[in-house]
Order: sequence, then C-alpha cells, then structure tokens
Amino acid sequence: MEPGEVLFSAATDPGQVFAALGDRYTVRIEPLPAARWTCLDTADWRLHDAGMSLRDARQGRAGTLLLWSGPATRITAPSPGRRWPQRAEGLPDSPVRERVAPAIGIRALLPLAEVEVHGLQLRVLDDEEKTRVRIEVDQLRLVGARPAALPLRVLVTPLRGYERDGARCTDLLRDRLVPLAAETDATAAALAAAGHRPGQPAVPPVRLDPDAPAPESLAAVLRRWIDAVDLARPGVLADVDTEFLHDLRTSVRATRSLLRLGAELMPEAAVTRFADEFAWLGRLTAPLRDLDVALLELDGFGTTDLTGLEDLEPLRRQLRGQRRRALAAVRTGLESPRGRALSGDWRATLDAVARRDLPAPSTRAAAVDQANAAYRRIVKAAAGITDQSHPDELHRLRGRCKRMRYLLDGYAPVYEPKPHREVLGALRALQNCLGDIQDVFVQRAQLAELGAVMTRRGGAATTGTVLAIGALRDRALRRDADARRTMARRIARFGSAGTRANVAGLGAGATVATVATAAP
Amino acid sequence: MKSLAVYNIKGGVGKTSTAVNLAYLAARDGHRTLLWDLDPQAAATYVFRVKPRVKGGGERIVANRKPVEAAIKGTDFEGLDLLPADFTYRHMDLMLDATKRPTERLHRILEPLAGDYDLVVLDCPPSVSLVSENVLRAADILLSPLIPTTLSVRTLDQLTEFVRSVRHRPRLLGFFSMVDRRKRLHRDLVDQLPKERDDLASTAIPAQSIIEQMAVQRAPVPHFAPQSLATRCYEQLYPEAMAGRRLDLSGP
Repeated sequence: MEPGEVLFSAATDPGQVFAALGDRYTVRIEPLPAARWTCLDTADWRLHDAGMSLRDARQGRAGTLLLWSGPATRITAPSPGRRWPQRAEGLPDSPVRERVAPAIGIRALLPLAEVEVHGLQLRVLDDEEKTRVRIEVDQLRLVGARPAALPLRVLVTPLRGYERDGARCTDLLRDRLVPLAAETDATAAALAAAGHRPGQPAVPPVRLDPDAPAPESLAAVLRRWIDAVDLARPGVLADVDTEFLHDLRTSVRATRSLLRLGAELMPEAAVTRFADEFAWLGRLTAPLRDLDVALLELDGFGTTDLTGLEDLEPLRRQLRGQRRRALAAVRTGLESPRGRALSGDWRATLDAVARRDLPAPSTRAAAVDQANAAYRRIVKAAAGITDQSHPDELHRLRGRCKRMRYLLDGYAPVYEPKPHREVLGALRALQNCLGDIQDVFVQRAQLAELGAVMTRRGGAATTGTVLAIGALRDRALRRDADARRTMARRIARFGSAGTRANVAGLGAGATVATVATAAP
Repeated sequence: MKSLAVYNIKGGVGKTSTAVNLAYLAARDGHRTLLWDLDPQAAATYVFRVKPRVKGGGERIVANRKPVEAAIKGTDFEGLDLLPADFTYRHMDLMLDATKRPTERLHRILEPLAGDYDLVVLDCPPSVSLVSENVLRAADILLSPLIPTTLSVRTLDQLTEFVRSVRHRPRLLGFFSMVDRRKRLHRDLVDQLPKERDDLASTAIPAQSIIEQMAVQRAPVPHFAPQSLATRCYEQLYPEAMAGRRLDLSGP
C-alpha cells in the first residue's frame, strides 16, 4: 500500500473528508485534472511476487509511471507513450526500468485494470497559511468490461518536517469515517474488481477426491489444462510475449501425456481423435517455440555464453524473419476451423467422460498404476542409452520423462509425500540434463541451417557473423558434452534401488484435497 | 548534489530574492532542491511561510548534535525544501569557531544530504567572516548579485581575491541586480561590463516592484507572476548560473 493511503467505501462522498478535516483545520480545496490509471503486471504476477506495484497514471497526453517497491519506496518515470502491453525494453530508460526489468525478465507488462480518477486536492494550512499536509481525495471507477465504482481513495501526504500533522489528519479521518481493511490498497481493489487475483495462478487448482472414479478426476485435470490453453491463446495470437506460447505448449504436452497414460479411462475414439488434435497443435507451434528459444539465447536470456561474440545482428535478423513466418503459420492454424473447434469439442468430450457411469478404478489407484508403468518404461528405455546415443533417442526418453512428470505434478496430493518428493527430484534431474542435450541439438541444427542460408544468399553475413555462428556451435558442442557426462549419473540415480522403492511407495496411504498441477 | 551559494559582502543587493527564485526554478525543472536560509534575518524563511526557528536551536545542527535532516521543512512547492533560518545564526561565527575544522563545517553538514537533493542553494548573510569561508568550501557555484555602480567591479574583484585565497575554489559568477535602466550609469555598466568580463553573467535582474511583492505574496516571483519580466530574467539567469561546475581561478 502507498504510504498515507486510506480507502473508504465507494459510497463515501469527498465532501465528508472535507467536513471531517474542516472542523479542526483551515483547508483549501483545489480540483485535480481527471486522470486514468493503468494497473500493470505480467500474466504470472512477477512484479507482485517481487513486492512491486506499477501504475501508468495519465493526465491527458502526459503520463507518469509510478512504481512502488516495498511499502515506502516510490519511483517515477515518464510514461512510455505507447500502448500496453510492453516488454521491459519498451519502458523509458529510467530507474523504474532498472527495477522492473530484472523482475519481469522476458515477460510483457499487461494492462490488467483501467481506472478513471476524479480527484480533489485538499491543503491543510497553518496559521501562516502554509501548507502542512496535502490530501488527495480520489473517486475511482473501474472502466472496461466490468465497470464498477471502487473505494474512495484518500492519500495523506505531509510535507517534510510536518509528519505529525499528517498523522493527526489520518487519525481524524479514521475516527470520523469508516476505513476499509488496512491491507487493501487502490491498485489491489482495482485488480480484484477486474477479476484478477494477484499472485495466484491464472487457472485455479482443481479439487480431487482420491476415492472418486479415475475418469472423473482425469477429466477435471484435463479441463484445467484446456483452461490454460484457452487463457494463453489470445497472448499467442497477439504475440504479447514468448511465454504465452510456452504456456500453451506446456498445456498441450501435459494434455497429450495424461491422455496417453490414462487412455484406458476414456473412450478409444476420443483418445485417438484428440491425441491427433493435440499432436497437430504441438506440431503447429513447435517451429515458433524453437525460434523463440534461439532468439532468447541470442538476447542473453538463455544459458549460451555470448562473451566475445560480435556481429550477431545479421543472425538475429535472419531468425526474426523466420519467426515472423512461423508466427503467421501459428496464427493461421489457431484461427482455422480446426483450431477454433478444438477447445469446445474437447470440453464436450471431457464432460461426457466425467458423466460416464462405468466401473473404473479410484483416482488414487489409477494414478499409482500409471506412475509405476511410466517409471518402468523410462528405466527400460534408459537401459540402452550411452553417452554416444543419438539425440533422437534421447529426445524420446525425454518425452517419457515429461509424461511421468505431468502425471506426478497432476496427481501430486494423491501420492505419499516423501516418496513423491524423492521420485520427482530424481526425475527432474534427469529431465534437465536431457533438456540441455535437446536444446543444444536444436540450436546446432538451426545454426547449421542459418549458416547455409546466409552463405547461399552471399553478402548477408559478414565474416564476423560467420565466425560468431562457428563459435556458437562450438559452445553448443561443449554444453552437449557436459550434459552427456552428467547424464549417466542421472540415469543411474533414477534407476537405482532407492528410486525404485520410492516409486513402489507412492501409493501408501494418502488422504487428499487439492491437485497442485504445475502452474500453467 | 550541486551547491549554489548566493553571496555578497554587502547587504540589500537582492541575495534572498535570487536564492528563492532560482531555488524555485530548479525545483520546477524537476530537480530536488533544498534552500538553506543562513541569514538570521530569515527573509527566505518568511517568504515560504515557515517559522524561523530550528527546534532545539540552529547551533545544535552546526555543532553536529542534531541531524540536519530533522530540521528540513517542505515548502508549498513540489520538490523544494527549506532549511529554515534560526535566530541563533547571528552567532554562527562563534558556533563554527567552536567546531573542529571550522571552515569545513557547513560542507560536512550538507554531506549526508547528497542522496536526497540534486541542488542545495545557500542564502548567505552579508559579511566576510568564518561563515563566508564555510560557504566557499561548501559551494560549487558562488553567485554574487551586484548593484551596477562603479564600485561593483571592485566588489567583484574583492570576491575573486577572496575565492583565490581558499583551497576549494567554487566557480564565481557575478550578475547585475536591481538594475534601473532609467539611470545612465546602470545602462552603461549592464551593457558593457559583461562583454569585458567572463565572470559576469549576461543576464541582469531589473529593479521591479514585482520582486518586492515577494514579501507580500510570500511566494517566489515565477509562481505568482509567471509572465513578468522579472520571471523571464530569473529564468535566463538560472541556466547561466548552473552552466559548468567550476571555473579555473588559478593564475596571477
């Protein structure tokens, strides 16, 4: 909350504030120009989680970005003068950007609530007619899809050296009028009225009964993932930031994994049809994601060491060109009849699955069986892996690991906590290692293709760029070698007697409530 | 943090008006500004409607027994704070003399404020004293109002000598103040002298009743008369005063 801010119910009239103060002090009133606030944060609340709150406050054409970092630190900068959303590089070079950029990383700031502000300024004067305290009284109204009157905001700002006068005014207002709960601030009130829950996952967790029929729970978990797909879709189409696509693809992968592992719990025709549909969506979006990853690496957001590499701009330009085309293909696919129908058809199928009244195992029994089967498949596939294995083979193993991961995440509370934690740790370690190898494989393929394209075109790349491509491939190879060295240890840990015992112990006991699936 | 001292050996030459108006213009430009009224007459403090006293006495600040931050008062103007005058400042020489390194005391007092302010403006009392030596040590820019008389050149020379006599040498800039263009001598000096001396600003401040109105309006001229000639002159003087940090005063 902003220091000095007190909220009163939306029904409170600004005149009541004046009357409360005017009884005791000389108070002057001045109207303030109408303003409009845009409350900003990323889709996954990175500013909120970092203890920050950001607002673009506009009066006519002029605007100010107001950043609160901690309860008493307020930093301002001119508004970027562009429409939101914006990524950090779209903010003016300022202390606000310096604070915001590391917190939001690659995510864009979204306009989460728009507020109209009609305000008055009260000046509390002393016997010399000097201002001792400024009090801003703002009537706030949420505009947009869900218009609503917001609480009356009173901001008491004592001038330096007159802090006691400010405290007296605040006390007086709290005594005479009825303030709202102290933890509510104007930004939080606006976000809540707009339907947001700061810090909470965009798709709320589902509740599962471990003794309920497994198909019913599977439908609930899958419904959550399609909620996540639908939520990410507009951000992908508008190309707000790369993480919308990442979230969409994560949800698609999770859906495909659970569909495969729980195939016997659903009608075969539905499994076949939607396995195809989600595979199509995965294929449709894969090239764009690969290009996003490559560009993020070149922008320093990945693990690639860019030290000493110059003249990467032609490379970026080339990748950006490819990305534009890949984005157009994704947009076409998502907006096609097939892309538009997928969510609705899938939801209808899930509803039917949940309603089916057939004999079925309990949620817990099915989750434990599936985990055991997934584990056995991974161990079997890993048995033939060496540090010389082809990346395709490793990629298939990685796919199996991911499927088990979605299962363990999706049904986490159904499992016995300690074995679950241990198995997840061993699985995550193996996954990370295989992920590194796959990333390097994709990056090397991209670099080889780029090098070939640029050479064919002639003149598109300087010697520096060609050398940089070579250096990047060398560094990628070193990363690959490091990851492969680690891989043997990780496979051994995953296949060890200890992990095997933990997998066997996943089903012991457990009474459950909420499914905490990986946040979409 | 830059520091600008408005100083002259003589009184009644427009020091306080200059200090108040330039401090206001700096704050208006978005610079976090502090005006320290060092003159026990407390004229600047009066203009900003602040009570001319430092709780516990100004000597406690000088003697380092009270943090300077605790004495600062916000003015009615965004970004402009005031360190008010205190009647005990009439004995400031004695107070300073009682401290260690008496010529550096004001500089030391201001040091903790470096992160809070972009500019400190010192409104100095007229004298040549230990206070003046402190002002020279604390200031990056010494701005000196001069009445256009034949003696004004001599005053500026005396100030130059004074500045040369200290180790820390602020940039010295004189300017003509209280100029009455009906007087031929004023006209001649204001038109001619700045062309001959690079330590004289080209901007001159006219003698206008609007400036005297500051004590009635109790506000800086650019606030209550933003379109006036006086405002325009102060607006021209401000960048001249702030241009460059130090003037090399070495030499014969």
